[in-house]
Amino acid sequence: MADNVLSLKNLDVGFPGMTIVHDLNLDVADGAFVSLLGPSGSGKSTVLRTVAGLLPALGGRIVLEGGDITTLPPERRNVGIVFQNYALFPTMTAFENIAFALRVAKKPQAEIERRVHEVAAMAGITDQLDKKPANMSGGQQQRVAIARALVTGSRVLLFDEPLSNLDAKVRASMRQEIKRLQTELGFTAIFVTHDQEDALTMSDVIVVLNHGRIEQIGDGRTLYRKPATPFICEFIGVSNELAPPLAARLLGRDIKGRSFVRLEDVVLGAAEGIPARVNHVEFLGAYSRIDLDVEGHALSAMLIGDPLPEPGSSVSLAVRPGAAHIFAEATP
Amino acid sequence: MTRTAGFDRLLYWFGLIVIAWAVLTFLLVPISAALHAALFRHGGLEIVDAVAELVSSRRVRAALWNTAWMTAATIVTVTIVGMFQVAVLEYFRVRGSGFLKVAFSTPLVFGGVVAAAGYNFTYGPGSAITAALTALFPSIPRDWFIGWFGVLFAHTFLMTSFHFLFLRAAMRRVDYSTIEAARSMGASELTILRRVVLPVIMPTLLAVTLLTLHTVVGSFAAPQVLGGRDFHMLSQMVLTLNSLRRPDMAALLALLMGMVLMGLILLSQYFEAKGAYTAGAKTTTRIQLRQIRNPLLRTMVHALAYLLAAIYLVPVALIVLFSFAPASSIGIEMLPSTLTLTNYARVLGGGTAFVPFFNSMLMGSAAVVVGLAITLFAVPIMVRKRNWLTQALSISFFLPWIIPSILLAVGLIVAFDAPNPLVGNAVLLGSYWLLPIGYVIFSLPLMVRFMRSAFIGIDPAFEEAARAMGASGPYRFRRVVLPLVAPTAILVAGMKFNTLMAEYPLSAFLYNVNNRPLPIAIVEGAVSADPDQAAISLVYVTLIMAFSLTVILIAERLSLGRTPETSNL
Repeated sequence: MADNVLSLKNLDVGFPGMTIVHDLNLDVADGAFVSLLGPSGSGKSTVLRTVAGLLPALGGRIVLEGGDITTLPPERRNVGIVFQNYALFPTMTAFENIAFALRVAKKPQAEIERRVHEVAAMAGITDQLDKKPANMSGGQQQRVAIARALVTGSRVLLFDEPLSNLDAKVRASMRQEIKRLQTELGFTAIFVTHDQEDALTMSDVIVVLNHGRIEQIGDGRTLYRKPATPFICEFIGVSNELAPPLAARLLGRDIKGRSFVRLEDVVLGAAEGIPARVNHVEFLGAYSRIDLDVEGHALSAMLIGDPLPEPGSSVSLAVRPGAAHIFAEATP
Repeated sequence: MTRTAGFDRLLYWFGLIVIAWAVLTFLLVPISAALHAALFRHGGLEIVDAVAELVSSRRVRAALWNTAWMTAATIVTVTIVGMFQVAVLEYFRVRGSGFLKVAFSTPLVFGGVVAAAGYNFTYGPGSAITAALTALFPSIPRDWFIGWFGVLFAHTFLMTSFHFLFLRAAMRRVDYSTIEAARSMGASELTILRRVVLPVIMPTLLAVTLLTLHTVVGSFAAPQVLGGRDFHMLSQMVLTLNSLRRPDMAALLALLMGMVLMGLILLSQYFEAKGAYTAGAKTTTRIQLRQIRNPLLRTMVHALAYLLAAIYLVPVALIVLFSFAPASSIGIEMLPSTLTLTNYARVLGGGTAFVPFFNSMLMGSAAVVVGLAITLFAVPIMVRKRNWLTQALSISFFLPWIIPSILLAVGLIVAFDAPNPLVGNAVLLGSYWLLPIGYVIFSLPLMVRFMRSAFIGIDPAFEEAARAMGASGPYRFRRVVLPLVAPTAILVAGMKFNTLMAEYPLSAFLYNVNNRPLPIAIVEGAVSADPDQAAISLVYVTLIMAFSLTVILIAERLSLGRTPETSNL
């Protein structure tokens, strides 16, 4: 494991009189792609803005490459930011956008030229440097934004939901692009998103935030297969929450607390299953969702391929052994 | 705190103090001076006595009566003409609607003092049309157009710009599918118009009517140029009272007018707010022009539309043509037989004819530059920081919008006709700069309004990004924010400069021999019997129209100026 490049130690973030995230602790390894994932209002963007220095920390410390940057102004933190809409200055060319920070730092023109061309070559936008943002595609704008964030030599880039306004297809291609650049250029990325697909596909580590606290930290596979809380179970992927009597029937024992089972872990046509009635069949292309009535309780299953059961027909079902997620304490 | 940050902070407070002083000195003090002059006598509040003295004047009563009935008559005639225009352009299929649209849009560049002078040139005692009429009908007096008829005629055709801008827009918002639905249920054309279309456009129609009412009540240039010796309205009476050294009566009359006008503005905003109909449909269907099936009716509508177009275009065409004609042909020839650039050479050549043009250019430019500087400094602060100071600034900047300019003018006269400690004990009345100061105050509401929208429209991420890259406040403003708001700033400056070149009310009150501006020269030229002066006046009018047209075309491209609130500028 590489050394930590960024550490948040007992960090409190929010606004004066209103703490949104309390006592946050997080270590980010050099070159890692870390996503802050959570629903709206969970505090993920506030954390990012605090790390960037756009909001003051209410408590705790932010340590970057061994130095405490908690009270430094944004321009002295040496972190690059890629904003939601990229925030490329529309009146400037791509070159001028990338050169902005260097001009502010009063670097010599020759150095500005050299560094802008270097970073543009890395991002593959050398031929776009004379264009203004309005004349570039979304992908090209994204590369300019990343190049602008990297040009000062920042090794940590903060991404504030840069994909949130895109449709599904463009979004998929953009995240591949970000991941490719991150891998090739080797920077550390802190990526804020509310979209689990973004987080699962790009991240080495996902930090799930809810109501201002960390629910779980782990890679995507861990979060999906071993959710630490009922919230993770419901937020990552799609799950059925089993009512206690149904849980007892399906799992063969009394359950104290809450139990969940993912749709793909409900097996239809099991030899020793319990009977259920098919209420509704929804064909979704690669798979179908089957809504069932099991002794008065609603349950859904996922089925890949044909044949599909007819609505109104009876099936027997079971839960794949060991697939249920059981949480002893009935946390909300 | 770093040295740069400390300097920024110093600059910020210095700017705020200067603006606070300017607002206090040139806006709040004049307004309170006007109120004091109007309401206080002998050291006490004497409203009843003051009003009694005011209405005891026969001329004031006459002006009051003239204003009242002229307002009522104008509202009727303007509504008829305005509705007809909208119907012809946006509801019925009429041939040559593009041409008609251009004709009906002329009040946008041909209004106020410019149009009053233009109508006087076209139909007044010295016009070729009057010469032809009196030759044909000797019983018609040469001043047939001068008096209430000329004023009503000018109001009727010049005050349709609100209808042209806003009622047309409202008509375009009517969801055509609702018309089709009504027709499918058997409704007649009349029923559709009355029950489906009219209710949708009614709030806008009411707002537009109130704006027209506001304009008529404050009408100044039209009665001044076309009213003659016997027909006076209230704005003129305020000027007369002031020139009779009765600023207290002038202020009181201006205050009473102001209260009526403020009421009308509030009412129009109420109706405008009510006019925001939300269609039930997610996507509305654009209205399609309706064919008039009755051939007789169709012919009549076409004839009326083209007659109206002629009424709009003839004065403009004659003014432009005669501005290129020898002065000797004015009032003699129906159309100029020879064309020359002599009149333009006299205006632009630097002689006496150039002086009013130069004065207006200088004062207008200075007012626009100062107004823009105040706006560019204050608006970003007002947008970002919400506290009592910025709230007070915001309210102050919009005061000249609801306070009539003649009340402000009287206030400036009363406040600065004696040494005033706020300006180093200087007496500003009679100086060159009181009029441009008035221009600045008068310009602020429009500038603040448009620039506020421009600043609010900037994504905060731009500034955050610049800040994160180390840019200081002034650097961010210069390199990031200013280029983004520059198009709006340039356009607003152009619009305001254009307005100031033809601004009559403030000019009439505050000008003196040293800074006689263009609108005063235009009015003097319009009522002068000297053809040379008339020719010069035509050049002034043509130049103003050309500039207005340029500004409007740019504004049209940027889609500015689309709601009734922005009309009151």
